[in-house]
Amino acid sequence: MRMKQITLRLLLLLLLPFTAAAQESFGGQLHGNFQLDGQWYLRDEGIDPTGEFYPDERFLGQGYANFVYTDGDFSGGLRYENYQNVMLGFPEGYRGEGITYRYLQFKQDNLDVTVGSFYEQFGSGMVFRSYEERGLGYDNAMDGVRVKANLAKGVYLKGVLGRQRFYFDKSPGLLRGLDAEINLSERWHALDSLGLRWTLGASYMSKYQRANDPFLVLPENVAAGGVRSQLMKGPWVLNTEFAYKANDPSADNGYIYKDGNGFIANLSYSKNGLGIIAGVKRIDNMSFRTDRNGSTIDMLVNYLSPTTEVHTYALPALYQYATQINGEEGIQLEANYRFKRKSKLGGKYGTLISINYSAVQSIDKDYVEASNDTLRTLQGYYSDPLQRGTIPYFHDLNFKISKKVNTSFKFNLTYLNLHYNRSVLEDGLGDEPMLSNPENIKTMNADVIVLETLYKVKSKHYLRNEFQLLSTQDDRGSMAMALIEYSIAPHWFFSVQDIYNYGNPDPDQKLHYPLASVVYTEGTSRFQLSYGRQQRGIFCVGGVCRVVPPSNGVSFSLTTSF
Amino acid sequence: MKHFLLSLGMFTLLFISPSCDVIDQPFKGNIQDTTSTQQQRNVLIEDFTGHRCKNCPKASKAIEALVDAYGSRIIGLAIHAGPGNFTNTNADYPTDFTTPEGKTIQNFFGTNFLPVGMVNRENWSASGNGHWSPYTNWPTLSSEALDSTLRISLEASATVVNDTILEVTAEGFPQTPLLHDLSIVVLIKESNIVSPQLMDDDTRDSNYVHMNVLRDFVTDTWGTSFGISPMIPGDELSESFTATWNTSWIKANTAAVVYVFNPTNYRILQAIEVPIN
Repeated sequence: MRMKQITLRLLLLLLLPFTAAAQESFGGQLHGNFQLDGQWYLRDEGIDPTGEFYPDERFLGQGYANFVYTDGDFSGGLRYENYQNVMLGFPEGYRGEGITYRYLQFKQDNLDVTVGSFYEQFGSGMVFRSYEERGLGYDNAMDGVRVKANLAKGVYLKGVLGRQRFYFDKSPGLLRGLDAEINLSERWHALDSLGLRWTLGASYMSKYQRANDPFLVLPENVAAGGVRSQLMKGPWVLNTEFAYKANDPSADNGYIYKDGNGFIANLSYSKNGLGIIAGVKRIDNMSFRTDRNGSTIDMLVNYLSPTTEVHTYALPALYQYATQINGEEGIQLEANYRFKRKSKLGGKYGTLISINYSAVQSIDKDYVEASNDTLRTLQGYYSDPLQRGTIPYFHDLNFKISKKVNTSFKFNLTYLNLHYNRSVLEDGLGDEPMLSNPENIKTMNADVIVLETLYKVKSKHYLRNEFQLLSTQDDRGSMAMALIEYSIAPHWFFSVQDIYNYGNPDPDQKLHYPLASVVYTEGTSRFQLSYGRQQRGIFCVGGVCRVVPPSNGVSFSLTTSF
Repeated sequence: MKHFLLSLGMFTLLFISPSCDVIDQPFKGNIQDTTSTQQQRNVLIEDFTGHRCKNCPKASKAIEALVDAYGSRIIGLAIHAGPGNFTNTNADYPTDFTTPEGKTIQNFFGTNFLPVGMVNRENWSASGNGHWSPYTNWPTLSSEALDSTLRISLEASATVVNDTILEVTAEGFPQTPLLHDLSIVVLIKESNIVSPQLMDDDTRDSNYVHMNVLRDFVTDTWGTSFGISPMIPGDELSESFTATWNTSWIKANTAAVVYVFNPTNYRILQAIEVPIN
């Protein structure tokens, strides 16, 4: 009880400026949120024998606060960020502190005007997507002007002009883009009466970056464009998009002048407990950045959505797929069916089963001989879209069963079969060296089983368990994991987990990775304290990934909103 | 409504125009200017590298290409510093190329990935990353730096006495008024060192030739004072330095690099490379 009082007082002291409800001033409303994360790092020779990841500072902390003021059709906001210093695994470019996002926005006469910072997306993002993924440290916010207009019923136009964020700087390149969308069903009711909803869109983006290369004539203006369609009828939805990018020599593509293109299509069906999704994607040389010399996750103009399932369970999440912007082709098929309650397979509460298969491989590439210097630079390679590439990048076949057994107990059982090309996804090896030396390709094949159970102990008391087993002869070898979480709604949450890398081929690396956490929640505020080991891995969101180094220490996180 | 559509039409044109450059001939012609005998501004490229960094040989090649184009006006310096999984030694990569000074510079300027570099340390700021550049951008940055005004010219000589002591003398001649202090750094680099290197196709080249390897600093990492503001054309600055010579270095493959910089923003105003006699 005394501990609880101390915790509450500590939280109130920390959160005093934020604990009030939305503040009213000048007739409008002020909202915001705040997050602070930190970790005290401990030297751990087991996971980091040479100390290469052990930070000089010992303690690293970072945080941010958003403030948004709205008053009728007017709104404005800002975000303050601090990295003192940036935590391990986040991009090193975050150094320092300051206001990184600020904007003013008003809506009037079918116009929506934003000046300052903004996020925006054209279609699926193959031509342009400006967004933030805080967990990855990814933020390519635009700084400039955005205008949205509703020209006529069902006709929408967006225009953007500005530079992208590059940590605490701006990208060297400038973006100018336009997107138009027409909802045919809104304009022609005949379609609507047939049960068809059809939307067409087109987008265009031009990048300008100064060039002063002494060897190469570089295009300072690079354009990309795309067309898309969304057709819906009853339980069916078909999304298709095609994008094209003009010559854009860059560090990503080895400074070749070949144009790029991408195609993505998804068909889905959902009715009477049955859901089916089929997707296909092919991209060829679609890296598009506001700095032709950019790398990793810096200054990407477009977003190439993944066609693989993103896993949240810890062991399969160690081997996530990251979209290969220089070229890939893939398919994804997913089907799920919910057996009805009181049926033979559904039981008293119903049963959900699902199957997902995704596979990604290289695209066909016929490289120009290196001796033909000019053609090699202009074209790089020829690719036939009807030919399959020969290098497997990734596949994932998984089955899931979710079942509620009784009012107190339910479980999820998952099996996965993974193939992961480590040369591509970890080492960043290009297709050409792999085609020349296929025997050097490093892969990881694994079978994974996950059992998750949730048990209601009594009113407001829940026990959740996870048991995971990853079986492989490759990379770091097999691992097993157990997790126990106990939550007392609405305030307390306790968690203990351990991953044991029992199959590591290096006897010194057959390590345990224990982690214990306690979370306290009060209203909109949440405080988390953790202690334990974090093994190296890859953290991905939406096909964009970052490498997480191993670490050991005490970490905390405080979040709140008002 | 008419005005509204007109405005939107103009707005569309604003965003659409200038659009796209299509390039048919990607290469420029010969670019080296050999007509000038006056000293011009040179470029020091600090190339942060590691023998277990597979993309690092590409950075070294980028420097070679610039030296081929611009001759001695480009001074490469390979600093083996960065994450241990790129720079540490093991049975396959036994040579320790790291130096304490290299590590100090890498820590101060704040990067943790390779390959990456600085071109005359332009655009440094405590919270920014403008001073870092990938090797693919070095041609552009070098070209711009080479075209910029020379603010101080340098002359230097380096001699090993009795195979034990290295003596270096350096002189500076301001070419424009200088309203900030100057610091000077002298260091030794060595080329043609044969030692294994991880290559970009994930193979190990046991006969890789390492070039421009930072061996040691004659001065402190951050140099010593060379000039006090103000300085004007006609002033003459000079300093002498001595250091212990490491006999394992092959003299014919070594060179002394001398550079002067503004200690408030670390910008390198001039760098020269002289042979060690």
